[in-house]
Amino acid sequence: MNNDSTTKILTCIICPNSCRISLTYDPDTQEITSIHGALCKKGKDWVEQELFKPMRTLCSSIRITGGREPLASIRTTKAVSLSSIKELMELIKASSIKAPVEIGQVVLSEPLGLDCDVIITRGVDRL
Amino acid sequence: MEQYDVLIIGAGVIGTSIARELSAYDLKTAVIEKEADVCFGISSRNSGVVHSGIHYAPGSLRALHAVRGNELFEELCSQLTVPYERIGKLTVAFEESQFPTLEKLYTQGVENGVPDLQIIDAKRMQELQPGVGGARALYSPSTGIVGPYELTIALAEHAHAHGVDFIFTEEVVSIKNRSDLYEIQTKKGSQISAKIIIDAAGLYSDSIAHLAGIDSPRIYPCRGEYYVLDKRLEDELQLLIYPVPGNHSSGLGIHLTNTVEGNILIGPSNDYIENKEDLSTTVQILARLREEGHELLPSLTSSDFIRSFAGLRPKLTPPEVGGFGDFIIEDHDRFILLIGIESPGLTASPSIAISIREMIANHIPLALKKDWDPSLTREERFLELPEDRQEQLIAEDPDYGSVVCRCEGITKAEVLQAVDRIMGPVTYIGIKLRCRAMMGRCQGGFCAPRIAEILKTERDITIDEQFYKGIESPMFEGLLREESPHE
Amino acid sequence: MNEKINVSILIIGAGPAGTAAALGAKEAGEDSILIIDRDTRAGGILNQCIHDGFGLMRYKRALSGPEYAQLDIDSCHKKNIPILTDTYVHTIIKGDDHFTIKAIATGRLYSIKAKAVILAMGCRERTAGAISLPGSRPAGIYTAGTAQRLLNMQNTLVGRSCVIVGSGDIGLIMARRMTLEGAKVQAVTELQSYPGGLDRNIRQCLDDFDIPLYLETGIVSVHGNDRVCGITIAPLRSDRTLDMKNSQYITCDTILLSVGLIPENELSRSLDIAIDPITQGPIVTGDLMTSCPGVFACGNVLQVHDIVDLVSEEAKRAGRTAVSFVSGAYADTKELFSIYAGEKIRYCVPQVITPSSTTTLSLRVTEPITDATISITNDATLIKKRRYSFTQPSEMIQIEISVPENLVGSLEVNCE
Ligand SMILES: Cc1cc2nc3c(=O)[nH]c(=O)nc-3n(C[C@H](O)[C@H](O)[C@H](O)COP(=O)(O)OP(=O)(O)OC[C@H]3O[C@@H](n4cnc5c(N)ncnc54)[C@H](O)[C@@H]3O)c2cc1C
Ligand SMILES: Cc1cc2nc3c(=O)[nH]c(=O)nc-3n(C[C@H](O)[C@H](O)[C@H](O)COP(=O)(O)OP(=O)(O)OC[C@H]3O[C@@H](n4cnc5c(N)ncnc54)[C@H](O)[C@@H]3O)c2cc1C
Ligand code: SF4
Repeated sequence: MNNDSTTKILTCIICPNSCRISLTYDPDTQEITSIHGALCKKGKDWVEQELFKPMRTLCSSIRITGGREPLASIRTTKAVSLSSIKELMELIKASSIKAPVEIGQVVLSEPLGLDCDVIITRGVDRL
Repeated sequence: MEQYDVLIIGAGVIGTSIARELSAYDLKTAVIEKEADVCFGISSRNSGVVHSGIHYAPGSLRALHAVRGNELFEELCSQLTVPYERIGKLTVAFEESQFPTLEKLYTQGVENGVPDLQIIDAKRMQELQPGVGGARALYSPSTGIVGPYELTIALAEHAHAHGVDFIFTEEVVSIKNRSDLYEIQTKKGSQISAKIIIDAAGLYSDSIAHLAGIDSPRIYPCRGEYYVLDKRLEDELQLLIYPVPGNHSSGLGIHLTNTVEGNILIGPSNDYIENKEDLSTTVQILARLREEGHELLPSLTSSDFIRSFAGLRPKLTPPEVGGFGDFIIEDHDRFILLIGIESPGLTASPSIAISIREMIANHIPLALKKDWDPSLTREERFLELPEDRQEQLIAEDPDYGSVVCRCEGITKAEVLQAVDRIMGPVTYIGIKLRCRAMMGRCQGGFCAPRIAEILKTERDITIDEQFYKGIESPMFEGLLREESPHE
Repeated sequence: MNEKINVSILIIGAGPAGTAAALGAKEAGEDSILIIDRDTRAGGILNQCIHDGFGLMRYKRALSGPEYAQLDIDSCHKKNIPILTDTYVHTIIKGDDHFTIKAIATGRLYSIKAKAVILAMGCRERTAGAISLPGSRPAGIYTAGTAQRLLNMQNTLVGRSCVIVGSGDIGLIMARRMTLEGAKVQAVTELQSYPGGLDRNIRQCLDDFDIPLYLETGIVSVHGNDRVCGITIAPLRSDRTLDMKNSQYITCDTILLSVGLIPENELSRSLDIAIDPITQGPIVTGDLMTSCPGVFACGNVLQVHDIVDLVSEEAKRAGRTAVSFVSGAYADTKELFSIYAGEKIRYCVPQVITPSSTTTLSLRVTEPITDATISITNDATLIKKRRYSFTQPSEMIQIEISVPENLVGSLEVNCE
C-alpha cells in the first residue's frame, strides 16, 4: 500500500463566492486528509462529495400537448448522481403531459427509484 | 418543351433589368436561375454606388453605359419605389503631385458626358463633409447610392407582373443551337427552348458561352471583402469619399460607402481567388479593414461592426495584369453574350437593358404592350409611416402591431408580405432581402426564432422545410420532442 | 386603435430588472406604474434559462430561471402592477415635465405619458460580425442565446454536432443542454487565457461531459457553402496572431457563438443619454439616474450581470429613486463627482456619485487575480478596502460605500 496523497483544487459551485478549495486525499483509501479555502461548511461537504460521487440537478424540457407552448421546462427537486442523468434524460424524452401545467407540479415522481421528483419550472396554459 | 422568344440566364441585376425592359413588349420571356431566388449572385454583394462615369476611358462601353445608366436611375427608382439617393462623391487628392490625376479625371468625365463636375478646394470640401482630409477634390454631384437587392427584386417583380416567367433552382448545363431555336437543358433534366438566349450569368457567363460553343474569354473571380457598420454612425458621412486612384493611401485603398439604409460599408478589398463560390471573409483582410475603419472613423467601437461579407468581381483581366477590362456585349447569332460586367455593372444595368432590347429587335419585331405600367408601388415601412396611416393599417391588419425584428423595426405583417412576395422557394435570405428582418445589429438573433414560428403557424412550413438559402441549406436539425400534426 | 395612457413611472422591460424595479417603486409608495414588454410572456431572458442556479443569494435556493422570474411577476400581479406583454416600445420623446412613449401591440398603438422612465431592456448577444468570424456564411451559425431560445421554448434543435466559439456562460450552458439532448459538442474555444464564464459552469457543463475547452484559440475559418460543414481553429501565439502550423479542422454542422452581451441601448441613445464606452450601458449616478433627468437604468441594460439576484437588488433601488424623483424629493442640483476605474479595474458602475450618499459600486477586474486588494480612494484618503483570495473578470464585485461629504476631485478604484 503506498502512502502517496493527491492534491486537487476544486471550485465550489454551491454559491457564487466560488471558493477555490484545495484538498488532499489518499487515492487508495479515498480518505481526505486536508481541506483548505472553503469559506463555509457547505463547501467542505460539497468537495468531499464532488470528489467521489458528484451530484447534479437535472434541468430539461418536457413535451406538453394541447398547450400554448410546445414545451415546459422541468428540473429535479434534488440533486441526483451524475451517473443517473443519462437514463433520466431518456425517460424525460419519452414523456409528454397535457396542458395546462403549473410551476411546481410534479410530473415524474421518484423516477427510476431516485430520491427526487421532477417538477415543472415554467407553466404552460391550455391552448 | 416550353418555348420562349427570349430566355435570360441569370437573375442578377443585369438579367432582371433586361427582363423588365422586355416585359413592355409582346414577347414570351423567361428568366432561369440556378439559385433559389433573384439576386443571390454578385448583385447583392457590392457597394451599391451609382457611379457618375468619371473613371472610364472615353468611348468604352463602361463609360457609355455608366453615364446613361446614371441618368436613368432617378426615374427608374421612383417608378419601382426603390431607395435611391443622389448624394454626390468627392475624389480626394491629398498632395500636389495628385492634382494632375484629378484634372485628368475631370477632363475624362466631361468628355464622357458626366454632368456638373467641379474641382473644389479644401474649404468647399469642409462644407460638404466636415472634417474631411485632403487638399483638393473632384466633386461629382451625380454619384448616387441605391439598394442593390431592393432594385433587383423590384425589377424581377415588375417583370413578373407583366408576364415574364421566372424559373428558379434550375442550372443550365447544356445549350444546343438548332438553326432557329436554342435548346436548353438543366441539371434537373428540364428542357426549354428559345429563339434568343441572353447570357447574363455573371461569374459564369464564360461557361454558359462555352456551352453554346462560343469562344469567350475566361472570367477571373476577384474577391472584395466588406464590413457593415451599425446605423448609429449614419450621420458621420454626408457623401462618398474616395482617394484618387493610384493608391496613394497605404493599405488596401479601401473606403467608406454610405448605404441607403444608413449602414456604412468598409471595403472592398481586392484579391484574385480560384473558386467562384468562395465568398469567405478572411482573418487577414478583416483585420486590415478594421484597422482602416478605425483610422477613417475614430468613433468606431467594436460593437459597431455588425457583419462582414464578400462579393466576387467577374474580371476579364488576369491577376498578372490587374486593372479593368471593358464590358463585352455581343450578339453571336441570337446568343447575346454579356461578360465582364463588373463595376459599374449595377449603374450600367438600365442602359445595358436598352441596348439588349435593341439587339433583340434585329431578330424579332417588337411591339409595345398597351397596358404596360412602368410603376410598382410599395408601402413604406410601418414604423416610418405617420401615425394616422399606422392607425389605419393596424385596423386593417392587426399583425402590423407585432414587431418581429426589433433592430430594424419590422412587423409580422411586413414579414408575411415578404414571404408571400417570394417567387421561388421561401428562404430566410429571401425574407431578409425583401423586408430587412435579420439584417440589423443582432443579425437575426432575436427575430430568426420568431420567423421560424411564423412560417410554421401562418404558412404551414414545418421546421424541417425551413431553409437558409436553398434546399441544401436547412436552418434547423428538427424538432426536439415530437409534435403531432393535429395539435 | 390608439390608446392613450398616463402613468407616473413607465418601465420598459419585464425581465427580472423591470419587475423588481416596479416592486421597488411600489414599496416606496408609488401606485401609478406600468411595465411594458415586447415578449409574449414576462420574465425576460430568464424564460429560456431553464437551468438552475438562480436565487441562491436572495432565496437561498437554486431555482431555475423561469421559477425565479415568476416570483416577482406574481408579486407584481398581487400588488396590481400591470404588465403589458407583446408590446414594443419604439420611441421615447422627452417633453418639458414628462416623457411621451410610443409603443405598438397586435392590433393597437399606444401613446403613453410618464413622469419618469426606468430602462430595463436587458441586452443582446454579440454576433459573428462583431467578432469578425472569418470564412463562409452558411446556415448553422447561431448565437448561443438564440439556439437556447429555439431549444428551450420553441422545441427546435439547431444541429447535431457543434463547436462553441467563446466560453461565455450561455455557451457553456448550451454545451450541456445540447449534450443532454443527444448532440455532440466537439469543443469550446476561447481567445483569452481564462474562460469567460463562471467556474461552476465550466465544471458542470464541460468537465461533466468531457467537452474540451481550448483556451487562447482563435478561428481561422468557417467552412461550408449551404450548411456549416466544419471550422478551422488555431492556437494564438504570444503576439496574439494565429499559429497556423498548429491549426486543426473540426467537422461540425453548427457553430454557436458565446462571445459576449451588449446592453440594448438604442432607445437610450435616441434620448441622447451618455453611454459608457466600456460597459456600453448608460452612465449613471449612485441613484441609477442616467444623464437624462427622470430616466433610470437597471439590470443588463445598465451593465451585463451574471447573477440575477444582483439585478433584482439594483432594480429595486432604481424603482425607489425613480419614486423620489417623481415626488419631487430629488435635488437635481447636487454636485457630481466621477469615479475613475484605475489599475486592473475594467469598469465601475455608477460612473458618477454625489457626496454624502451611500451607494453600491459594481465592478470587474481586468484579469484573474489571486490575493486581490481593491481600494477606493479620494485624493489619497482611503474610503474603503476589500480583500479577495481570488477574483476574475467573469465575477462582478459589489462594494457598498459611504461617500464622504467633502470630495476632492474624482474617486478612484484600484486593485493590486
Ligand atoms: C465587390 C464589388 C463591388 C461592386 N460595386 C459596385 C458599385 O458600387 N456600383 C456598380 O455600379 N457596380 C458595382 N459592382 C458591380 C456589380 O455588382 C455587378 O456588375 C452586377 O451586380 C452584375 O450583375 P449580374 O446580373 O451580371 O451578375 P449576378 O448578380 O451574379 O447574376 C448572375 C446570375 O446568374 C446565375 N447563374 C450563373 N450560372 C448559371 C447557370 N448555369 N444557370 C442558371 N443561372 C446561372 C447566378 O446564380 C446569378 O444569380 C461591384 C461588384 C463587386 C464584386
Ligand atoms: C444564458 C444566461 C445564463 C444566466 N445564468 C444565470 C445563473 O445561473 N444565475 C444567475 O443568478 N444569473 C444568471 N444570468 C444572469 C441574469 O439572468 C440576467 O442578468 C438577468 O436576467 C437580466 O435581467 P434584465 O431584466 O436586466 O434583462 P432581461 O431578462 O433580458 O429582460 C429585458 C426585457 O426587456 C424587454 N425589452 C427590451 N426592449 C424592449 C422594448 N423596446 N420594448 C418592450 N420591451 C423591451 C425584453 O423583451 C426583455 O423581456 C444568466 C444570464 C444568461 C443570459
Ligand atoms: S465554500 Fe461556501 S462560501 Fe465558498 S463558494 Fe462554497 S458555499 Fe459559497
